[in-house]
Amino acid sequence: MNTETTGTTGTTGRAGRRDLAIDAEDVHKRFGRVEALRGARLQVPRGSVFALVGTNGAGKTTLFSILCGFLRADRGTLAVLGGPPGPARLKGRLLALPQDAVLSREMTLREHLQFLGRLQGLAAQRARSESERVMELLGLADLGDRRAGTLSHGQNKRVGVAQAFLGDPELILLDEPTAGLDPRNAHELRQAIVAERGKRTVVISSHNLQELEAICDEVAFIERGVTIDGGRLADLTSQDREVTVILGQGQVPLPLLAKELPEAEVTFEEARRALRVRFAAQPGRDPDVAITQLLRLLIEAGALISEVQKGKSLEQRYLESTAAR
Amino acid sequence: MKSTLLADLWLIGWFDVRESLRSRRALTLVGLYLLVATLSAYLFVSAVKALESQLAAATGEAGEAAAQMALGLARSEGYRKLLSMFTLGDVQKAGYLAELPPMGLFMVLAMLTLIPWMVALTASDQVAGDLHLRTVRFVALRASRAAFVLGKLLAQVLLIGAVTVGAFVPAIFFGQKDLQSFDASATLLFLLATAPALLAYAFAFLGLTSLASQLVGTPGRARALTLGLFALLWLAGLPEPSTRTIVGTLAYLSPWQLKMGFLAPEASGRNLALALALGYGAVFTGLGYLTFRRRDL
Repeated sequence: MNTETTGTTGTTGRAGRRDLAIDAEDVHKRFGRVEALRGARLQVPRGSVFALVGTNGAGKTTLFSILCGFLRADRGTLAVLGGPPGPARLKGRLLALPQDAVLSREMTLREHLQFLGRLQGLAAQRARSESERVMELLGLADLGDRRAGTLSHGQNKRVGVAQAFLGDPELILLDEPTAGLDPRNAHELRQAIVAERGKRTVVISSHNLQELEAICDEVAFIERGVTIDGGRLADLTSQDREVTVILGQGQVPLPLLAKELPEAEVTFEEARRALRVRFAAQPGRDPDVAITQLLRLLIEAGALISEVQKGKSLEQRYLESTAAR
Repeated sequence: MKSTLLADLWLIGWFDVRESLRSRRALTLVGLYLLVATLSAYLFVSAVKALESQLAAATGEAGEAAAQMALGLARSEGYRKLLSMFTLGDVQKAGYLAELPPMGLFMVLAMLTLIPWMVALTASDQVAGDLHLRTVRFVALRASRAAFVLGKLLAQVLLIGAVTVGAFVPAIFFGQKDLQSFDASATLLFLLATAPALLAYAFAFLGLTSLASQLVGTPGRARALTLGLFALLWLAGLPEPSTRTIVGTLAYLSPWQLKMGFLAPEASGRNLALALALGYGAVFTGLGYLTFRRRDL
């Protein structure tokens, strides 16, 4: 084991000089003959809701576990909230939903939450009130006196999430938080996460790209132990630079668009009747104005508009990134 | 930082005690231990009661007189010889043991025999159980690994301590109920005075289970490793400890060699055994922690 740790938050590659909650570079981890991480990189700005996306076995959980201090990296530099991971520095500041961790069967949900609250440094009274608050937040208020061993998988998952919201952590890592939850609970959890935006940093790993797209500010794609792409969601999906218009039957006014939008790259995919317009990057330009201008031109030219999509979906972007590997 | 460690290990230990008290497996094993202690007390009482009856029948004396004779026999030369055999010919130690309340001595010897194996059965998964289910991950974000290991150890010490003192109850109960020659207060005082030694002895073996439990990742492996280590050290502890032979030197590694030290005639000998037992527990736990502090959870 040769993990270097840095105490700096700061200048890091593509992220530039930013205030980072997590700054991991070139992280390696091997389990026997399996190389789970092969130089993973992660820069998470403070206060953001950040998504970590990857296939099963891509290394997301391993990276989370290293950030939490459960696993030790074989190599790499790592700073969590400005220093090395571990409870000595991060007690009560970093909380997480560990994947597949099981609560002690015999103790009640309320007892667990109060115990964990006390352990992260809350006074007894505060631990009690926080337990009630997070149970309410995750819809568990009626289950407080139930033993953990009698809870369903989904209920246990919510308890796992609830304990990660105890107190006032600066950073929360949630590994597959909505896996196994019913749609209503998943929705409520997403709302709870969105409500934390700006107050604390939340990092979520999930396969559900629609869900991540709805709640996250930034994304990193990880594949086979390597971070292959990442950045602001709006940049990755080109939301402020690209628009796709699905047209109905009829003529497509491509010459008009080329003349009126000389700075834009216009392509038309006949099969889907998808008109894709990619605007050149211009600092300060309002993308909505450009989109409105495009739609006005199309309407004036008599084109039938069936659907308008701003940028690419996260799923499209992810597929593009992974296909390029 | 120190106060955080102490506060954390107490929180972890007490949570574990509460959980154990609700766990069927732990309760079954505690019940088993108390049952064996009760049976031991009962057997001893039955034997002495039979002796009292035989004396009453043979001498025509009844009640208190027969009891006094039985007590006298217990301090007799035959009893001393028996104890002398038990102490491998150490007359001084045999004489000291003969002065102890017989029921108390019998119970302490029974517990010294029973404790290691009860510890092996009940405590082997103290860390590995949480590793296997990854329950440790909820704690590891909030408390140091040292607090986790020591908290788990503390829980076992508290449980074994409670069970050990609990085992005194049947001894006093049966003695008081069935024996004319039974000195309840002397027996109770002796048992209470010996309780710290019993707990220290248990601690030595708890340290061994902690070592095994920190080295592996599943309860099954922890139990197997614990039993293997116990068997090895039990064998190592059979010869008299001595620096003159390799076998004798190996005996120093075994906490089993302390067993008779707790019944040494001199207080210094008993205190030394107690200190060594605590040392064994601390060293075994520390050896496990050398691995655990750096291992993946």
